[in-house]
Amino acid sequence: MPPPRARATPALPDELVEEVLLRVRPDDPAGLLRAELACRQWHSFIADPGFRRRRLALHGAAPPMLGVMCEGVWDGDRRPFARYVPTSSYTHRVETLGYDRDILWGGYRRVPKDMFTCIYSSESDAWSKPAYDSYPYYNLGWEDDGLGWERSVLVGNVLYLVLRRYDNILECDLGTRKISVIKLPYVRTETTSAGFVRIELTTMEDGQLGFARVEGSHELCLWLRNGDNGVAGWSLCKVIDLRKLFPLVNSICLMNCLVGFADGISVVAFLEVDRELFTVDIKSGLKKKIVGGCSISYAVPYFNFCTPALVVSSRDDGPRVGTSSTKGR
Amino acid sequence: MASAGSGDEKAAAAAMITLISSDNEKFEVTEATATLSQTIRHMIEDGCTDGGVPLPNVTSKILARVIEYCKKHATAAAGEEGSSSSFSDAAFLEVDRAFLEELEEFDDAFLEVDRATLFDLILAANYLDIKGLLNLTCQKVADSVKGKTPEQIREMYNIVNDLTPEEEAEIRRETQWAFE
Repeated sequence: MPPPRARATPALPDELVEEVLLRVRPDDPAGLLRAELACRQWHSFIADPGFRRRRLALHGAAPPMLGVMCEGVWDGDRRPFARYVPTSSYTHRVETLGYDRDILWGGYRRVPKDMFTCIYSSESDAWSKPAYDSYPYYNLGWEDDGLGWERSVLVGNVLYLVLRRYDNILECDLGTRKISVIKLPYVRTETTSAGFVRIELTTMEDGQLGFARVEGSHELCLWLRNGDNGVAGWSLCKVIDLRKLFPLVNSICLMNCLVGFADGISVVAFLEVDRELFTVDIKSGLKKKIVGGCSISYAVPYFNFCTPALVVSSRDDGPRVGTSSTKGR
Repeated sequence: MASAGSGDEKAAAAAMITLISSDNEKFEVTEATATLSQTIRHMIEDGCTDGGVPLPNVTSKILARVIEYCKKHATAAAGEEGSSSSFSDAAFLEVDRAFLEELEEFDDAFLEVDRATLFDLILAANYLDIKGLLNLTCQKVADSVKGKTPEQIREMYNIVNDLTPEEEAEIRRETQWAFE
């Protein structure tokens, strides 16, 4: 296409180079990584966490899922272990396991009267002092409860964690360190109690908190939290009849099939049905098989990846992008 | 440069703006076409367009192409306003769809230029603050990265590799999967 080159390609200023790199399509993650090797400046653009955020924002609501980390028992093995199942060209070196900034770790004292939280900051590489709060089940005499293994979600500066009884969730403000308990609505078919039905937390596009669970043995329900506190603050947003998606599967299997949820952006539930892992798109109600030959307990989707900044370049240029003086451009 | 095409007749009543390229060529365009550029829109609002708008960063060759883009897309914007105010009939939707397809074809053809011109268009779109054109041209360059090796990318963009062999090895280690 290009005719014999009459003149050299003009150099683009930094902000326009970034505009171009931001537009490398999300379905071509490998292209972006090869571009990192062009020069030091391009690498520092792409390795910057702000770049990843802007890129996600630019490409809108639905980046393609790169893969799923699945924990479960795989055919031929007896003990459960986690395996990364790719759903794109992204095959290994899973980098983003938690959140960018802070990791919250919680626990219970041996006598469950108080609970405490410690926050690890990757920026300062240090754990905070524990902050104590009262244990929500103290008056009930529950002893063996704790945090569930389900994924927690971050909304703004507030982290939400699943409690193993599934009737409440913990809300932890990372700024003020305040912990509170949020009651979940009853399962609609039972009037006595919420709880003991596994939930998966999620966030919607606008940062709204939500959770999914299977109710009445075959209905996959998505609940969203409105502004109000308390049980009244939840509204049922979507119900999918799993018997229509999996007509030949027995109801006990369907009751326990929810094993993960993808955050608001693509709103996909992960279901393990008859030793196969499926995604179900909440909006369209369509299912898709991810992998078979396994009994999955937890599925965590991957949408993004990062590469660490160079040790050398970060020393030379500082942590900010765009301050480097790149030669020869 | 001002075209007397039938589509422009309504707009002809509107004010005309003169744009002056870096090599002193004058282009007369309608205000609707010119105001796709936020930079020029602000100049018009401030009332400093009498005697023409000098654009010292844009050559006549590039400005002609930018105006070609703006004319096409200004018509599109006017058409959209018209159809949204009227009832949305199936026939109207059909016309809209056909027009969008035509616009897409126009954009594709518009981008069939050599790389230096494409980069000049990016610079002009940025300077004139024309969001649609900036997005279109940047996307074209971004798409050209697909399937290229780092060496090919450097050659395309006239980049001198300033990574030390150790740094290059470090990045390759972290991103090994992208090269398999």
